Amino acid sequence: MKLFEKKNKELNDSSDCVELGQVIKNQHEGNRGVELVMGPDGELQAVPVSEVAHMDGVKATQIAKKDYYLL
Amino acid sequence: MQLDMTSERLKLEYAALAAFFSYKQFQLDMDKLIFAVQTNSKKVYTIKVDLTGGFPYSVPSVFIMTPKPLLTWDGHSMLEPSHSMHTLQGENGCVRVCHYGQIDWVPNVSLYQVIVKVRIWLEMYEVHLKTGRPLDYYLTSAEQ
Repeated sequence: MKLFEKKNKELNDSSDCVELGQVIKNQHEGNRGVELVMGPDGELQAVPVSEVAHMDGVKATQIAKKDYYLL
Repeated sequence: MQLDMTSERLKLEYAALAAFFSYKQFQLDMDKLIFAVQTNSKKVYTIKVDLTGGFPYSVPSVFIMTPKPLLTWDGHSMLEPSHSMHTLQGENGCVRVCHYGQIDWVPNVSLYQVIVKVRIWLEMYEVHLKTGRPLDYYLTSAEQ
């Protein structure tokens, strides 16, 4: 059984990762209009704050606040 | 070598990692965590978190074991410390990632949190490969 379900592939030509980079840059500069969410499939997504509550997955801004030793 | 990891802490770290990741993705021992990370592009990286430097009281060293060696977009080595690329001195051909700074580090930072930071570093590394911009363009630096 493979460790990851999806096949490995070369870096694609889409601008997805560049857009993600821009979101992370904006967050580091204090713009909290978009939240990073790590979905159940492990994909890191940029989600508008207004939609975050409806998303499954781990929200980046909660990662530092959670007490992982009480899980 | 300084081993401050206790068996109790080890169990807690394992539980925290297993809550978010498949147990097949990682191997955790008293002295190291080996972790397979898949980025959004589906590339897989193997990372090693060295726990022999006094974790959890000190920042653990994190190395990218595969692919080895990681290179910059224009083919240069990343083994030397680089503020703009968020790297420290590499070892054995493995790039060392700067994740938490000494000032930011507290003993209750979990290995899970370290892994998430490294995941974001890897995503930004892949952006660097496409744009040529240093990681510092996207990430603020950790205070040392």
